[in-house]
Amino acid sequence: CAGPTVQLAAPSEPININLNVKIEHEIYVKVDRQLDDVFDESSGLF
Amino acid sequence: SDGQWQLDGTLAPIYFRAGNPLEQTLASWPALLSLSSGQLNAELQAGDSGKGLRARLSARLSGAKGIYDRTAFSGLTTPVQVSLQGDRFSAVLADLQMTELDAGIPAGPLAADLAYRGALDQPLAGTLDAQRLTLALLGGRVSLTPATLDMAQPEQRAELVLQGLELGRLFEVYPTEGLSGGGTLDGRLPVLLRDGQLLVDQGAVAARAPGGVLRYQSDKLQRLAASNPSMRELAGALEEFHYTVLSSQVELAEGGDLTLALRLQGSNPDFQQGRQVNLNINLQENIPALLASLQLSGKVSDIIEQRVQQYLLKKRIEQP
Amino acid sequence: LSLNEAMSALPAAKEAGLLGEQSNGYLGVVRASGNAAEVAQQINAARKAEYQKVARDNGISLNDVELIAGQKAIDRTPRGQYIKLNGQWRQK
Repeated sequence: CAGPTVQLAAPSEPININLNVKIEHEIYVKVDRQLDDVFDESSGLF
Repeated sequence: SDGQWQLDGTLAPIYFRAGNPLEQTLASWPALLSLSSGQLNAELQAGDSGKGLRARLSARLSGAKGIYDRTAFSGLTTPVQVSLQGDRFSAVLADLQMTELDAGIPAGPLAADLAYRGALDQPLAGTLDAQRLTLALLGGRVSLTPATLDMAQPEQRAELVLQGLELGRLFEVYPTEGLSGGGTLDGRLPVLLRDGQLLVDQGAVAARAPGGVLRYQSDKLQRLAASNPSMRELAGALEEFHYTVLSSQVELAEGGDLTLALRLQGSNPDFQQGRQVNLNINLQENIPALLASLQLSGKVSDIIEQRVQQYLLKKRIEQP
Repeated sequence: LSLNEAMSALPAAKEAGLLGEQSNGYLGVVRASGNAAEVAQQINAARKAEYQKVARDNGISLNDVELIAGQKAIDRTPRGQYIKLNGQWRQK
């Protein structure tokens, strides 16, 4: 059978990753903000 | 005679496709509910045997379709028993069935047994007895733990139990490019109903053993990974992440702000010889913005696009 | 009636219940009197131009912009002014 095989052990130390994710729904949020100006008192249109 | 009378009658069936006479006649018809099809058959017994008015309406709503606020529903079939004695009334919807409802994410069927008792002078301040409320969702089920809610109180507490929700189905609906994978989720969400808003306080969701696989590839992440070592680790791990632990705390606050405190443990066999990775993600999402953008973003199918006209036509108005 | 004149007449027309907001993002005539209809026509034309620009900027259909605008117009209508829902004018 084959000679001793060298098993590369996974590094014992785990990786710790901390992440903050804020989901912005670009299209809707942008459109919503742009329309805020139209429906502002001073726009004359509302 | 001494004022006693009795009336028995069968009302003419109403076909909502021809218009909704109830909307004009019933002052308390909810402003945001419109029925586009369905049939209502009803029989009325009323009388006064000397002790005041007693009335009983036994009706059957079948095949109703329509929109409530921004949720479309169809295939609503339910018997309705309404009884009135003096100024007390009760409405029982036993064995309610609804085939589909869609608030941006398709769900259904829904089944429920509901009973509401109140007084005519304060119709909305009665008690709602929800013995059964289950909804099929994302390959699994959400059910309300049986509860009696006192609607006179400023807020009501209840609990939703999630069983067997499939992560794969969630990724199909949720518009994140490059994210796929699987796993079965169960959970428990303590809910708070406060002036029409549904809030979740310290909900918990977790994937069933043995876990599953998550795959995430995005050019945004690749660009970040090129210049940032921890991003490179993240990208490497998420390419083919075999997780054993996936759990999250769930908070849904005023205005629909959802916060998930996600905890993942697992490894990618092709990344650093399968080195263990512990991933903690604090994810913030706004549900109304999500549902609105689901309806507007390019990933939305034509059917939902066509529904945008119906959905957004009805918007909640403050009661004057 | 110039756009500017229409703009200055708009608040009074709304306050008097002549004009109200609709869910399609445009003004509707609740009660035709005086130049209410003409005010609505001028303002709606200006609104449409704004909506077309927003639709072009974000690559979505004019109709989608109109629907979000309608939702916003109805939300922001003060109590006592008129809005149209389910085809009927109602006082908010």
